[in-house]
Amino acid sequence: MTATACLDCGEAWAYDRVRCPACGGRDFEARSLGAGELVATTVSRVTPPGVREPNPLGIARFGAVQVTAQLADDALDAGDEVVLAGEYELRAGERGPRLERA
Amino acid sequence: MHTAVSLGGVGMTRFAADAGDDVRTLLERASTRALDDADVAAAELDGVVVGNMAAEAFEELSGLHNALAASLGAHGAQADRVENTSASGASAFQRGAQAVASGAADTVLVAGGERMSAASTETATGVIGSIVHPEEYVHGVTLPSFGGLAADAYLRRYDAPYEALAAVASKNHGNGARNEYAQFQTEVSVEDAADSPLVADPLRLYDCCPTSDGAAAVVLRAGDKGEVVVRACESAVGTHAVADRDDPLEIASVRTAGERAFDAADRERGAVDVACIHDAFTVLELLELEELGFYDAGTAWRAATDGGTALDGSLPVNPGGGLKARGHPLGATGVSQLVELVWQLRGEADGRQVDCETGLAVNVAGFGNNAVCTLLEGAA
Repeated sequence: MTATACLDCGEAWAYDRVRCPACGGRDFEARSLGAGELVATTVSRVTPPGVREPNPLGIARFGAVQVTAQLADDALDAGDEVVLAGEYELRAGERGPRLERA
Repeated sequence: MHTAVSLGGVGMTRFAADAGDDVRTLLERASTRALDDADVAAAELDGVVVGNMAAEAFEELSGLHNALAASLGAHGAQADRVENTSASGASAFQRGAQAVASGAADTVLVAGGERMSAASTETATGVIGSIVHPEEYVHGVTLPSFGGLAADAYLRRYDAPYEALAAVASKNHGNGARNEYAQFQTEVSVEDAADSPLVADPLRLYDCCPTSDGAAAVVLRAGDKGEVVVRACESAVGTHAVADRDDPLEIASVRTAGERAFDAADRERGAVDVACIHDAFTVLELLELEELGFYDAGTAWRAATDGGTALDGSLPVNPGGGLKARGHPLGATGVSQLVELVWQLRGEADGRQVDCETGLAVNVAGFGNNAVCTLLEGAA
C-alpha cells in the first residue's frame, strides 16, 4: 500500500480521495509509506463475518500519514517500528498488507 | 437563532433489547407522549422530523416520517426524515429547531427511533459496520475496535488505570438504575466491569453500549415562554477515517460543535450544570468531556474516579444512564438525551435529580464522523 501526495501542495494522505483536502488539487502521485511507528493497538474479540477472530489491530504513523490496519503479530505494541507489507487474507475474499515488525 | 425556540413537551419509550414493536409503533408511542406533555394537538404541527439511521436494513421499512405524520393526524405538515448514523436523533432535532428559529414553522415534532433487534446479529453488525471508512472496513475494523484503540492510547498516554474506564461504566449503570426508561436498571460495580469479558482490549463488555430498541420525541414551539428554551444547537463533521486524524484521541467534530454551541449561546463552560455525553464506549465520555473544554486533556478520568461526574459531583454527566445503561437505539439516542435534560431542567427526574439551570448534550455519529451539541436552559 502506498500513500497519496498532492502534486500542487505536497499534502499527503493514506486513503483515496477525489480532491486534496488542503488545496482542492486533483493531481496526485503515489508515495511509499516506508517504516512507521505503532501509535495504539487493540485486539478485537468480536469480529464481523469473514474476519479472523480475534483480530489484532493497530494505528501506525508514517510521517504525516496514519493508517488503521491488522497486525501481523499480536506481540506488536505501541512504540514498535512497523511496515505495511505482505499479502494476507484480511476479510473473506479480500487480501492486502498487514502491519509487520520492521 | 432568530426566533426563540422552546421545548413544549417530551416523551419516550423505555429502551429495551427487544421492544416487541416495530419502529413505527415506537415512534408513535414516544410522539403521543410528547404531544400530550406539550398539550399540543397533532393538527397544530407545522413540521414532523424523524431521526432514524437504518429502518430499511433493520426492518425493511422506509417512509417513517410520512407514516408517523399520518398516524398522528398531522395532516398537511412538512415531514422529513434525517439520517446521520448514530447522531440521527440530534440532527433531526437541529433541523426542527432551525425550522422554528427561521420562522418556517411554529410547532414541530421531532421523533427519533430505531429497532435494532429486528435484524439478525450478522445483519446488525453489517449495518453498523458500514459506517466505517472502506479502507478501514477491509481490515475488519469495528466501532468497538476504534474504542479499544482510543482507550489504549488514552490509558497509555496519561498513565491512567483501566479502573478509570470501569468507573465511568459503574457511574452510568448506577444512574440507569434510577431511570425507569433505561434498558439496564441494575448497579454495576467497578470490580464487575473490570471482570467482564474483553471486547476490544482494553475495553470490556461493560465499557460498550448495548444494541437497543426505542424512541424518544420532543415538541418544539416558537417563543421563549416554555419551561425549557433551546439556547444553541450546532453540529460539525470530522474525518471519516479515524486514521486521518493527527491524533487518535482527537474528536474534532465534538470540539467544533461544542465551540459553536457555546459561541451561539454566549455561555461559558462553567454555566453548564448537567451534561449528556455520547458514551457509546466509556473512553468516549472522557474524550468528549475534554474536547468540549470541561476538563484539560488527560484529566477527565480523574473526575470519573473522584466522583466529579457523579450525580452529586461538580458536573453530573449522564444522569439518565447514558448510552451505556439507558441504551443506544441509534436514531433515538440524540433525542433521548434532550428528553433527559428537559426532565432535569423541569425538576422531574425523580431519584436522579440534579440542581440545574443549564444542560448540554452531545450526540456523535460513528466514531466522531459528525457531532451535534445542544445547550438547553430552564426558564428563569
